[in-house]
Amino acid sequence: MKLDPKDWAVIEQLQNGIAVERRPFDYLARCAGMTLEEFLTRMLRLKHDGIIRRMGVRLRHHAAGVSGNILAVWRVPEEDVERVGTYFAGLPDVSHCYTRATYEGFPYNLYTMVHAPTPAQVGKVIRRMSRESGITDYVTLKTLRELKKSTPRYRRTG
Amino acid sequence: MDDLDRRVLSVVQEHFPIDERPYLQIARQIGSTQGEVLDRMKSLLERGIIRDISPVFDLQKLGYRSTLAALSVPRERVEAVAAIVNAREEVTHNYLRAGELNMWFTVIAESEAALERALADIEREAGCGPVSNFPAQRKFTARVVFEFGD
Repeated sequence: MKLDPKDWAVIEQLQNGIAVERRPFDYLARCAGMTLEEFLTRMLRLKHDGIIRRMGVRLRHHAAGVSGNILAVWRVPEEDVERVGTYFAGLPDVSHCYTRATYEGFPYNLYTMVHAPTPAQVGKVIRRMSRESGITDYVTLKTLRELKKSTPRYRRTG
Repeated sequence: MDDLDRRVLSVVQEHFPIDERPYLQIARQIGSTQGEVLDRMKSLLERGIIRDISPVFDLQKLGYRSTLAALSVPRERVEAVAAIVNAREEVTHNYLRAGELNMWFTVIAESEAALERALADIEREAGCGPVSNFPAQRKFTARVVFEFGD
């Protein structure tokens, strides 16, 4: 889908956030310089075309009771990637599951972000993932400190 | 969090209505009133459970590119290097992690070339060896959905 300047106006406004009031899109449409009807129509199309991937709120995981999250990286033989990736991705505790490039000193090719209410529980989940997938070569990259967390701001460039 | 909080969250996490009166729609879906939903949303924001109400965009479809990168930073240089990495607008997340590769950050930019430039700049300014670049190849999933059963 080709984005026109008006689509970008909608995207810009939505990134400012949706207010908690009866008619929150009235103000955003006005700022975007269009009628409410056009604003909502464009939003629906952006959603339909997958440019809006998820129409929802962002949560603070700690506050929402999810405090054990950990990045686990797995060394999965090429022929098992499909099976293991699909299995991991289907688990309710896994939010992200990607294959990534590897390096000589860092041969892990499958990355999973695993979440559970406590660190002990997340460890249990990871051990179960290993047991059930048969992948025993993995490391958990425990977070020692969050150094930065920001929301990307997308702008019209081209 | 009580039952009504959880019912509100179950809708707004993924299906915030695209409608002129979204909170009224939510109220109808969960058998509540608009006033009550507005109160709960305000409270969930105040308590910091909801960070913000804004869609998640597909950055690729917006023409952006992203990657995960990592550096091996000596313990005594962590603060200085973190300041260099964090100062870049292209860096959205940065974590200090256990292991030899200990500083892991995500980078987004409006093109592949801009991404490469950002990584090259960081590598030069940080001065602690090469930046390992781990671009995603295949995405099996990317979602953030949790059950709220305290």
